[in-house]
Amino acid sequence: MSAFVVESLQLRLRDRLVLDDVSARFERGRVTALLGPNGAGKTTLLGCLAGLRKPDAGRVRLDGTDVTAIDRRARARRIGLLPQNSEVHWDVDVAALVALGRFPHRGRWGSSEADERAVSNAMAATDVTQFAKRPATSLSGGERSRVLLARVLAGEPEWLLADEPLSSLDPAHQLDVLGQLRDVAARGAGVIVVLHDLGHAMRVADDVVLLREGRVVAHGVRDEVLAPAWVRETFGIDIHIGHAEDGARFVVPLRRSV
Amino acid sequence: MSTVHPVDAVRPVSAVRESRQLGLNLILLLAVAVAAVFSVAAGKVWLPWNAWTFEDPRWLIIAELRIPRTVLAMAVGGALGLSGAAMQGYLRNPLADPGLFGISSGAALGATISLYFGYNASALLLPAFALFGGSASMLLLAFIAGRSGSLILFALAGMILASITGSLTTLTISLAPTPFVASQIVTWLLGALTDRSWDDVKITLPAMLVGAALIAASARSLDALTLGEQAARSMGVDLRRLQWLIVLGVGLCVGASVAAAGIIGFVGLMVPHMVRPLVGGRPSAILLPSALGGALLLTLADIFVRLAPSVSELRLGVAMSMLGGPFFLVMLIRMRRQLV
Repeated sequence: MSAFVVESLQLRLRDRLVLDDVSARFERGRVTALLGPNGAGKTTLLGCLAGLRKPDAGRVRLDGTDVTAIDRRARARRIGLLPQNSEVHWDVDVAALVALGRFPHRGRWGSSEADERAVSNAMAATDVTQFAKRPATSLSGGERSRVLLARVLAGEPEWLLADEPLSSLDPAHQLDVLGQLRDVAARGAGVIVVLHDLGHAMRVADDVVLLREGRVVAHGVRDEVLAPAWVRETFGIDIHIGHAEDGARFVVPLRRSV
Repeated sequence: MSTVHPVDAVRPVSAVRESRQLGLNLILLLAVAVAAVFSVAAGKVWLPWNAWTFEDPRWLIIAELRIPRTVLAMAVGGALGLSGAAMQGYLRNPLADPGLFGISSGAALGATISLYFGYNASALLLPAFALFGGSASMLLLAFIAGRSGSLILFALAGMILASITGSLTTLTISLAPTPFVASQIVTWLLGALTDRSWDDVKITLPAMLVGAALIAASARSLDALTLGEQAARSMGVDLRRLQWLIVLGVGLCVGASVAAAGIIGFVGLMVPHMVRPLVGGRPSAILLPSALGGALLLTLADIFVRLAPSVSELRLGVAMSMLGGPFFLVMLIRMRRQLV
């Protein structure tokens, strides 16, 4: 089984130890949520996984190969990153924006049949096909997030790394995006997603990694990790876990623990 | 889920986009060709068709003055338009312009220093100094402001760079060994294409072509940069390579332009702005029409300054500033809401 393995990662930014002996394992076909308070090192870890940051010590291996040693373009074809701050600088139309996702696949001279198919599939999956002609700057926050997700999906990556893809979305669109992350995993890709909301993690994740001050507090299957004791240690809050009508578990933050 | 078959919905959009791009480029190319013919004919002496033969004595004016001047106008305009489009794409900033933000004045400082030392005796030294000054300024600007993509930081850095290189140029003039050198520098700084010869073309055109090739090589990476630096890196863009392509490409284009014609501002600001709405925002789609549009604009402007009724010929650089200043002002007023 293809996997991302993180081995005793250590990374220092200025004088702060942002990642301190972080080890974890991510599987394809599963959604893994990275959770932790602000400044826990989630985004930095995602950057290391994407091969964009070189750790001071330790290693990130993708199917056994050091991720920073993989050729830039080959790596970009395998790992798709959806950054947190979704900038779109020019007024390009949505079809062109999504087509940027084919960047690491495209040859020097224009796009192929496969490129077009991947772009249209990604647009259909995120339900943005009807915006194809619209300039990106005319989209609402929710539409834009979906278009940017479509951009990453158009690259048909084996791994989707998403940094807080739900911020700035209303609840309905949050559910849509969570569903799309599940679909991506169901198609066999690995999904690693930074989330802020425990409820979203409970809903979408197969596995959970809890981070605090650059260290892994707990790492494992969702129902074991999203337990009151681990959440208290990570966030300093007490939670209540209940069961919804459909049998799904949900989580409610109660208070700061004393 | 949409009822339209997805491929049918996406393909026409890119087809329309591409045919529009091609159409605009063809129209601009045609316009440049027409303007070039006019530019050869126009001047204090009008040269009608029957003068365009080897036997006619006026052929000398055409071959030795008008054609090189026209070629330089097209080359300088094209290089400046292309540089503006490349800078805007790289810095993700629609206000970027080589003239406005210190690249041209850096090149001019280099050229001024070479004039100060009397290096203009050798035909190669002034362009070399100008190329170095332009590249160094672009490098400095990219270093200070290029990474953040912040509009305000970039504008301030560019203004300060322009002001520092400007004051150093003034210093050089004030320290000029003879009044002759001082007036030579000042006249040259005003920007013009008067009395240029094939020698000027031979020295500056190759540098501009190399610069243009470097910029062309950066085109696709500039598109990826639309999504910000982090996304671009994750898509496989080598940001360091891109920075060098832009720094050297813009440095060569602008340095050679300044070496050929002095400081001519606003071309790189105006032209990309005019073509962007026509071909969509993708930085790579704007490069070629900006080059063609720049060539057209400067060729027309150069015809205008030759024909304008005045005692001595109106300086091209001055004319472009008079056109570009108000344009910039209107642009700023339109962008005001976004900037505040």
